[in-house]
Amino acid sequence: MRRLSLAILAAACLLVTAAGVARASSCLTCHPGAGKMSESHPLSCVECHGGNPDDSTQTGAHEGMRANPSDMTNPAFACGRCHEDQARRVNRTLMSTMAGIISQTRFLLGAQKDVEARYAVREIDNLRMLHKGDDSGPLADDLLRRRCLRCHLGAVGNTGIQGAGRSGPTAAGCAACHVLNEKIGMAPDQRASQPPGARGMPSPHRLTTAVPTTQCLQCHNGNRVGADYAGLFERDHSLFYNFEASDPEIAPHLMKHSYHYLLPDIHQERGMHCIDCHPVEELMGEGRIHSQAQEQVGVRCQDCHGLPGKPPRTRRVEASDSRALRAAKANGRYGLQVGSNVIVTSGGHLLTNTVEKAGNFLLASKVDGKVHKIPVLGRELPGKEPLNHRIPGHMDKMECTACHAAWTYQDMGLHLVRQDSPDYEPWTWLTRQGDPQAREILETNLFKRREQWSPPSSRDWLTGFSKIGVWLGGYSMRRWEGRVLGLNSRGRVSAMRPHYQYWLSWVDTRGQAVLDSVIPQTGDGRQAVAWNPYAPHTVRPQTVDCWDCHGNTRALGLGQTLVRAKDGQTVGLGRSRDDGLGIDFDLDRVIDEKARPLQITSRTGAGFLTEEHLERMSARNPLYIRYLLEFFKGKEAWGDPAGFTGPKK
Amino acid sequence: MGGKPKLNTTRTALFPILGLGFIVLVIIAIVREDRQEWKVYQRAYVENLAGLLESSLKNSLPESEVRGRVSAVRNQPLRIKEIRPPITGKIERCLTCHEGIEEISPSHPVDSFGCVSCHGGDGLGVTVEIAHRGLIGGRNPSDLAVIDQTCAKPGGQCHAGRKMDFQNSADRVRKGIMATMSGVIASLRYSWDAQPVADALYGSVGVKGPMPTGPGQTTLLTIPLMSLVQGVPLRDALGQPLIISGQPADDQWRKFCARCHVWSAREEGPSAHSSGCAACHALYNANATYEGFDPTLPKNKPGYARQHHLTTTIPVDQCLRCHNRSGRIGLSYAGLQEADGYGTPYKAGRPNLGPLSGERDARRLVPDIHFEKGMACIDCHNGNEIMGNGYIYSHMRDQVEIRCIDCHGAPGKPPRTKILRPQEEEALWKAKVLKMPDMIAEEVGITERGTPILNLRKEGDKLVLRSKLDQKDHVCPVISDDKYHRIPGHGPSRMECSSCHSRWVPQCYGCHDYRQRGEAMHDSMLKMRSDGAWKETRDYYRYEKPTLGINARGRVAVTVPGCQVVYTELGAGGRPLPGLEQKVFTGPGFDHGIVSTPISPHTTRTEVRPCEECHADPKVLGIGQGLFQAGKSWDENSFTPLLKPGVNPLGFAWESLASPKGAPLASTTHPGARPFNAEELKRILNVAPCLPCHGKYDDPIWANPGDAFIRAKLPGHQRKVARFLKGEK
Repeated sequence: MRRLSLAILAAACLLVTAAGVARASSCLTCHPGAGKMSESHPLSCVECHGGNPDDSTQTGAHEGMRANPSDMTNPAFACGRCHEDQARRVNRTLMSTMAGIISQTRFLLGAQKDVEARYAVREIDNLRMLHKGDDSGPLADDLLRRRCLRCHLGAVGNTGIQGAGRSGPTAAGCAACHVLNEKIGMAPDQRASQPPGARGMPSPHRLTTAVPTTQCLQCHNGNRVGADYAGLFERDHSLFYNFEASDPEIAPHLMKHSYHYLLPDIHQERGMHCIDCHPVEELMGEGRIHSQAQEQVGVRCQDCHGLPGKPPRTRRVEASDSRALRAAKANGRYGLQVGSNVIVTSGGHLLTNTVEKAGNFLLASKVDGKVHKIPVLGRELPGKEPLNHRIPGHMDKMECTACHAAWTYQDMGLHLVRQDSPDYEPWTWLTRQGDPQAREILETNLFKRREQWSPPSSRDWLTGFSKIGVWLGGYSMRRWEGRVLGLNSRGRVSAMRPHYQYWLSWVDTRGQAVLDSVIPQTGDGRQAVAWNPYAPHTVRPQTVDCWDCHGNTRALGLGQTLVRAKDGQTVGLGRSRDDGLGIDFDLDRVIDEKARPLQITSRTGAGFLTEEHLERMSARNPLYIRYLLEFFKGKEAWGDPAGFTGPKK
Repeated sequence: MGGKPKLNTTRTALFPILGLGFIVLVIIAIVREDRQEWKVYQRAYVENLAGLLESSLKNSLPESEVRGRVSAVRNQPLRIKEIRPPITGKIERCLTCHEGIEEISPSHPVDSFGCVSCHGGDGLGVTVEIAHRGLIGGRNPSDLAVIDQTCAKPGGQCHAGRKMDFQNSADRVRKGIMATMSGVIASLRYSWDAQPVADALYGSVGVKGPMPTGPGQTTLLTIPLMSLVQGVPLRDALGQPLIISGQPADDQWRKFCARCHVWSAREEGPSAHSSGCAACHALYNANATYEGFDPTLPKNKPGYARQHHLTTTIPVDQCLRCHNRSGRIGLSYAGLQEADGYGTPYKAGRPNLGPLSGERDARRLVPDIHFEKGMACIDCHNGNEIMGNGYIYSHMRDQVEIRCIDCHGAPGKPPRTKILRPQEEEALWKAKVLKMPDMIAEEVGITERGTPILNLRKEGDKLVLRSKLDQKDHVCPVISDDKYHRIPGHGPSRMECSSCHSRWVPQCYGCHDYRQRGEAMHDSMLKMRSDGAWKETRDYYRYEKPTLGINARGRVAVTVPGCQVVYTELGAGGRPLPGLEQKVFTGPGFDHGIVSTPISPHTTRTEVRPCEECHADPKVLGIGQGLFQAGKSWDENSFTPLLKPGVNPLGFAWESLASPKGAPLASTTHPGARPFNAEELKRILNVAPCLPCHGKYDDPIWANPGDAFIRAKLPGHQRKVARFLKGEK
């Protein structure tokens, strides 16, 4: 009897309290920790999130609410009400459209005749929405929709697979970049300790413009630019190559995939972040549609570091630069003042976090405010530059990274199979696919008995719906050592990467291989075995050695060859044909001795080294020898040829 | 009276019943008689034979005649087949079932040896149960555990106990390195801090024998057990005592390494092989299935030699069944490199992880030139090296005696030869075993130790090697007078030929071993599961740019990681045990367990590495893969590795053998082997500035480098260089 009356009393109290809360109409009653989104957003919850604040029940209050009001694909996109211009621009960047990846992949797999952007993840301006992923369209589109397009600003998130839907549990839209998940770091597998159901909720409910590299790595990972900046190189997939240790400093993971720690970019080592070099115009776009990343990126090494005799180009900040001034104020970590001189990029954008002061060039990190003094080549007087910068052709015909990149991504031979039948056993050792969805499908099934295996079914990242089949893949070999050089679309000697060398298979629902390790034909009828120039973000002050390129067959694009002393005949080190690749050249051999291309590039205007390059970059070129001797000069290890002391007796 | 009619009734009923019973019994007897094991097998054999006859005659004879001949075969009566081999003098009926089995070899004709002299069993039995009673070694009487009753039978005058020691091959094999695995065990135990010396103390199974270094006998004990195994007596395969060591090295060897040696067989997969003599001499096909005519043996069950046949002409792929791990020199020789585990290109959409045992894939690279020319392992490696020469060696490199120079000569020194005289009993006996024609008065090559190389003979002024597999003659290029090998310091007295002639070598970097306590795994010596399940992961695998160092003979040699072990012992829930996570072994007598060792890569090519690849590349010189910066003075040299060295608890990069100043970093299990020291590095690097102009091995300055370095300092050369530096021609 006493118990019953107590219960009645408690229920009555609850009712009274609930009624009071409802009257106070405050979302904060249930979300006391939500806090202010940012200093610039002193808004009520409802202004962005909608919903019904007068209702005290969860379902009632959340009616018409949007968890992520920054999702631009959502009709109730809230940010755009104030940030119409930004939204317009962001919607046209490559991060939103994915037009670059789409056009490159479609071209290489023969779905379109050139690399011009025609499709995007949704219809915008002149870009059409990518074909449906059903099998009536090109296979390339299915591959894109179910494997590649996992990462873009509008991707369907919150799949329940940890780390799927984009790479990580970041939100869509503005929040993809501006809302940090602080649990994501260099060693994000600590995220495993998140409570179940966390499902990628941002841990602090806060917007920021101080976006650190770790946030960018949520999408820019795998063996692609971004991860290299942090010194990350994906480990080989096989479980024989995966390393387990409790210390993330030696066993880094991203999206549950383990990585090697290689030498990071010097800028990263110094504490700089992606956004310290890449201005807002490159990230959020200028409102134009682009086909390739190189068109959207306008910052160059020389913009900050100058060229010998040429200091960086600067411009005075005017009151009319109001957008930049507002952004600086909102960020608060770097000061931008009217009247100061800041660096202008080759793309014509202001690097608002730089300043010229008394002949010095300073950069303040937008993330932590730390000030860095920029080493400037402009003060190197002609004739007194360091040797490498003085060599004719080095400064005007090469990208800085051709020498300064410590290592490059070389994922040779990309083998992809669309598996429509439940045949998981051969993948037992290869469940780490570098794709959380594929991994989940393999692991879930392999954990069960064979009789319980279900046909693979994977999500179309544009619709969010699943259908039969999953894309699985692997490589021939992945290397970071050395480099292969070619010419980029600016006509400069640049590092190249295999991007990609395709071998496609397709196993249908009956287990029959409809395609069996076939090299696709590109849109213009060539073999889709491609290397493309890129900008490795592994910059070090120290360059590689002269002979790492000059006279080095692999760097020149000839592959690793054996040269017979007697007659100069070359023999390749590999045997691709015997390996079943169906080609007669090694994967790192892009041209023959006459500089005739054996492989292709798909970047507009790019190519491999020419016969003239091969001749000029031969180790026997007198000009090369002249500078090489100078390189050796004054160093004991190299015998100090100036004094010719020779080896000590 | 009342009983009589009863009796009659019973009788009348009994007769038909008894009669019926009799008929049934007769039928049963006939059926059983007909279904006797031996009849079933013999019928299968006859059917097989008939089928063969039919298909072979089909196209040459008229159909009716073929039918007649085939049915004659089919209709021949089934019968018990008996032989009385003179060696035993006793009747054997084994061929009643096993009719059609191949003769084991021409040296072991079945008519003289029969079956029982090797296999044991009851020769009179015609049922499996009786006949196989007392079979020796199961299907394989050459298994080392039973060889004392078979090939090495005392008084048998076969392969042991004979007058001349070299004839006692069964004795030699048991002391040889492939049976003892003394080298693998010693290196493993030494580098895991389980024993204080790099020389052998243990073998897979304990053995006594002479040491090559001095008089007297030495003993290898049987490799210990790490811990007691319940219900297992502390005895090895020969009944010798086992000790308990507490060393993880012993457990790892038993679980991983022990799968391949002459003591143990492997039933399935690309590494399937028999044990004992048959490990090498009985050839396997790709599926390890039987292809012969014995009707009792299954045709599609793995675990069988291709035929019931022993051979001395052993092809490369037989050797590859074992020599595909560790240094992987067998694979390398055939141009196979263990690839990175992706199994690409896919076959019918499936990763192709079949080519090597343990679900490993392979990539094809340029093979060894000798392989390309059609030579097999046994064309270079003689019986002493493969089967042992009766001594107990600590390491493979001690048992191997063949060197490149034995066939190809050294600068100024042609290969040594010897004319075989009748008193060369050993050589002549071996030639006979190898079915070689009369070798007396032949001039043949000899190894450094003086062993005649029987298949290398002098013909006029040429040395000709005859391949043991296909009898093909190869004229052996002799380098003693050519212009390519004249550079001082590059001769075979200072460098192994492979330093320049090997363009690739397997390099397995960073080995992480995990031992899970409380989980069982198969011990290949005990042939049962015991506590401790092992897992091994590696950091990365490479084949490019072999690194150089100094080997145990004091010569420059290719050096590979082997093994760079970081050890973790896991307890309950897979959690590392305190103090046993990411452990690098160290101990008295050696530096640490991050080991690199010299190797003979077996990727020989006539094409050599360019001079710059050794004289200027930090990875090749053992400084590491990364950015080497030469300082003004030697002590200002610096090096930044590409791979952050944190994954190695000792803090240096996996490719690094020494610091950029020449201080050793990597450890080794080969006594005497080491990285280049500062003096050597200087000498090598100092050559780099000469190479742009003098980068050919036949450049005259390399006839005398010491002189060249002095002349380089003279004004004449200085002026030339100065002109060059100014850009003048």
